[in-house]
Amino acid sequence: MSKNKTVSKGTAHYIVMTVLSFCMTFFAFLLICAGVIQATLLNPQYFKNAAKNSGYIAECSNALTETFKSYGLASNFDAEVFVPFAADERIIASVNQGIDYLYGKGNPVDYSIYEKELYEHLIQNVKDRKIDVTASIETGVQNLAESCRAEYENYTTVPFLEFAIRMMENIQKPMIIVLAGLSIVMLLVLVFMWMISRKSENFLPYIVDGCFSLSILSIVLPILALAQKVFERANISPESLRLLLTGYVNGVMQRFILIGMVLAVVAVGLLIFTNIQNKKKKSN
Amino acid sequence: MNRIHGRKSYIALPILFSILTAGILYLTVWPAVEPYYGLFSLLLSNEAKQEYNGVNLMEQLEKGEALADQEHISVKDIQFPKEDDQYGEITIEGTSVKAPVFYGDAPKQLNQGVGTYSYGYLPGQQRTVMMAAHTNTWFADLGSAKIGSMITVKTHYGTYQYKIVDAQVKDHQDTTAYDFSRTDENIILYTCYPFGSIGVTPERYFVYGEYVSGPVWVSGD
Repeated sequence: MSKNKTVSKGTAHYIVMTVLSFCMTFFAFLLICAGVIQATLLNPQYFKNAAKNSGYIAECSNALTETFKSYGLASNFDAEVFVPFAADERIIASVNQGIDYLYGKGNPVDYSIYEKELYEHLIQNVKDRKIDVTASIETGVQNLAESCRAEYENYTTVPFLEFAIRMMENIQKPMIIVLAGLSIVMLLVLVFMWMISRKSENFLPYIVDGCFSLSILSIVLPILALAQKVFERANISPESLRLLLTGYVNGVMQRFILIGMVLAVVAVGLLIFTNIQNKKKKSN
Repeated sequence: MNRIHGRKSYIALPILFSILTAGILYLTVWPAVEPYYGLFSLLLSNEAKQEYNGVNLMEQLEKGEALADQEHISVKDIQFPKEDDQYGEITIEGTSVKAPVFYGDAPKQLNQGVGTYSYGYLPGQQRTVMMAAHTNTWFADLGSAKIGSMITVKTHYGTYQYKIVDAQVKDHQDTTAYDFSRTDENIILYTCYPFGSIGVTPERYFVYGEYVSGPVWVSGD
């Protein structure tokens, strides 16, 4: 009778702990998602790094160089004249300023400065070639500078800026609340599990379950998403934008995978620790 | 309790938890995401996009693999050029114009030669073929083209000749400068005007040619 009672109590404990372990997995995964969003989508530095490392800047520079070369051939200017206006450093500065503005810092990029600077540079080039700057040349060069500015703006403006600004405004504060809320819920679940178990050898196996589950979720789901090659298959133009989106999303997925790997290591560590504890207990 | 827990191998429950979590998230989050994904999926193709740098289809001609000039040519025998492909060469009688012809008229193609407007037609399609090049390079001498002179477009599937019937200066926004609804073979060449001008000008120099010879595209065999 007493033995049956112990077994049924043990079964009930197992079921409750399993349910709590699942709750922990679920909320912890939501917390990981929120954390990754906070560290990527809501992090201007991540955006800047993605722009730089995805090949976006290099592609922008190449495309602008090609376009300006063509404009030069159409308007009697050497391609070299435009080189400083399609340089990586200039593009990086414009893109970073655009990203800062997206996240509520600083002012938007003033492309009229770029246009004015280019116009003066081109007029100086005409003068250097000992050509009289007539009114028609001034107009032609002004049109050229405007065309180049439009191309530059098109390539260096943060994509979907209007939509992105509205989205940022809408999710920045709620995300902090979500993060805090999920952390509290997680903590409560863990405390509850500890209170029920009271002993680490009863508690840790369920944490190991949770860690392994989180590890599977954090690794398998991003790998499945990456395997879809969604952005690689997208007909997004210009190419620089496709590279940026691909690099951006791949970076987010890689962070999930990294977290999943860390959790797997933690789970294995806890598992070893639990086994050692159990062996010690048996030997005693 | 330990005995109950000790039976499992830390595989079944984690997999079950993962499937349940993914399932719950799918059921709750996917309905909100699906409309956006549906919209985005319109942009998707079946294959991962690869960078394409164009090929020189004229090499086929040099290798003797291209079709010989004839009155008609079956569409199925023509390798349709892709953007950036060099598929021809153009010469204009009485001028120094001799240039490679590319499919597409984006800066990349115009930097290398004469570009073909890809929303127009190709030689042989019995429609309006429109080509452009820069005034300071390949079409620098387009102004020397005289009415009655011949334009020769040698492509990887045949050689076409057009007789120049008109030349006009028009505004770049003047849509009467071209007519893509025509159902006869004709060619329009254009470049910036005035020739050798500094800066971007609103005027364009158009040269119009009527079909003289070259294989006409026909469907089937």
